[in-house]
Amino acid sequence: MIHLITKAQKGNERAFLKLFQKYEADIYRMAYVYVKNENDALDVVQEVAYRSFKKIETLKNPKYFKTWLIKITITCSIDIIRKNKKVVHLKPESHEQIGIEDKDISLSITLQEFLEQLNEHERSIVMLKYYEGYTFKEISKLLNLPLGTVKSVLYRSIHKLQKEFKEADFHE
Amino acid sequence: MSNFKREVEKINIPNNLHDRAKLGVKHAKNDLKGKNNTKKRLSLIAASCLITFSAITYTPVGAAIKQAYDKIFESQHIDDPGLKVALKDGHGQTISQTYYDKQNDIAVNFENVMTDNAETKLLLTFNSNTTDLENYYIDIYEGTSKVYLITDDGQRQELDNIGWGSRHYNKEENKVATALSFDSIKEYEGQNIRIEIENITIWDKKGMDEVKTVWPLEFNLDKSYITDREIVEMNKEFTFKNETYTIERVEYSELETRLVIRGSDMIYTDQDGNQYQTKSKLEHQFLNARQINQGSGYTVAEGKSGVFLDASGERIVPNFSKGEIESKLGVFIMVFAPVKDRSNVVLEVGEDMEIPLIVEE
Repeated sequence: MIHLITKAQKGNERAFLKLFQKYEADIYRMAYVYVKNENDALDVVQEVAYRSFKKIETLKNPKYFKTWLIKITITCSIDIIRKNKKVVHLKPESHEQIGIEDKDISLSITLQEFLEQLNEHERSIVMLKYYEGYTFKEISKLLNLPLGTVKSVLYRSIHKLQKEFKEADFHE
Repeated sequence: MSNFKREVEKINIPNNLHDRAKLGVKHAKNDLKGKNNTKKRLSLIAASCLITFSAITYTPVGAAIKQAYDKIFESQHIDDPGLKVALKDGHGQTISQTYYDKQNDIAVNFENVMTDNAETKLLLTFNSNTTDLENYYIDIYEGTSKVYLITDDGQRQELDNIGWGSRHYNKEENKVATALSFDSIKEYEGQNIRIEIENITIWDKKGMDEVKTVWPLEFNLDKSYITDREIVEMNKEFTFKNETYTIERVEYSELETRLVIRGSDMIYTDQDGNQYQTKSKLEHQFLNARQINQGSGYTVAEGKSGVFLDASGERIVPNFSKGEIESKLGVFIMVFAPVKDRSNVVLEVGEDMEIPLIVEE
């Protein structure tokens, strides 16, 4: 991985894409949770690839490559949300069916609830904690928030979702 | 896998996902073309951050205590400057108790306890011949470890963390030294108390796990307190980067110096109107001088601007191990090493801002 990053930092496109491919599904899902539709989530992925390739020279520690990409993903997702707020949609896309081929309707509703009930700030913290598996300290650094805030937002979010989730649903 | 994670993984991945990534890179390459992209490659000289610790002068009182705790607690591997000063000055109560956790083959050595009105420090080391302790933490902040206090009459209460404490793992000896930091127990002075450390938190590449166990410690809390805090009410206002801050008060103790500060940029309101504490410009400036060292926590990065205290010409460094102390919404508690000469203390913010910490009549 370090070898690939060194190559990417020298401008090697193939090395960069090989690295990026490893995390692009995570990036897409993270973006989807923010923007709640496929088209915008794909736009986010494209923008993350664009920004990260341009800025990869600034990455000091290869160990944090994924965290660095996640941080860019959050920034790009929020940018798209802000941009979309200025656009009037004829059909709200937040109610589109999430692309789940699985027949488990109750679970798909659960995810829908998650997307609907939490604001972007809360969604990102829940995602980073329970999907990406970051610690409070890592989330605090990533989102530039005090640890206490990360904790309280997370617990409030879980409380909001209690109707749909048990706290045990978040743990292995 | 958690249900939540399973749910999120049900978000379909579109077939053209990688094509979009390629497109992003292609655009970036086009942008970079034509630009003079030959950047000066500066050879990075790793300036090893040498923190000099003053030689230990053995006072008669201190000497007895120094025999009783592991030298690691005075070394650069422990990132709490206040604790080191307090130990050097001979503060704290020697414990010298050993508990053998038979189930996990861990020998626990309780070494020292010190407490004041605001917090308790409990120093312990633990080692094992058979259990690899590299990822074993007594994490009472976000791990599953807990600390309880049980009084003689059977009352039991959980003690919350204050800051993050310090930890160092010695691979050669397979030994962990940890300085736990939790609620003050000063009110139990003169009483027989029992402290129970419940569960070890494991942090490894897979995430968090735990080892169920209880490590007990029983002792009489005898003159272990240091001093009462000297609290100086300030209400001193200053402006930094167009934000207004008020130093409400300064708290001096033998373990630390606390500045309680209110600020115009410490509260974040989300789209639902919920309010949270957020990192202010002042806190960012404070953290600017923080550096993380593998195996020894946080230290001061030499030459970087930050926030410091100056006490009659002596530079007092931040205590980054007290990363986040719970406070009221909109209040930030900034912690520094202890100050001995409190007659002429100045808060230095960034390169050229100096705020004397004196009460104006």
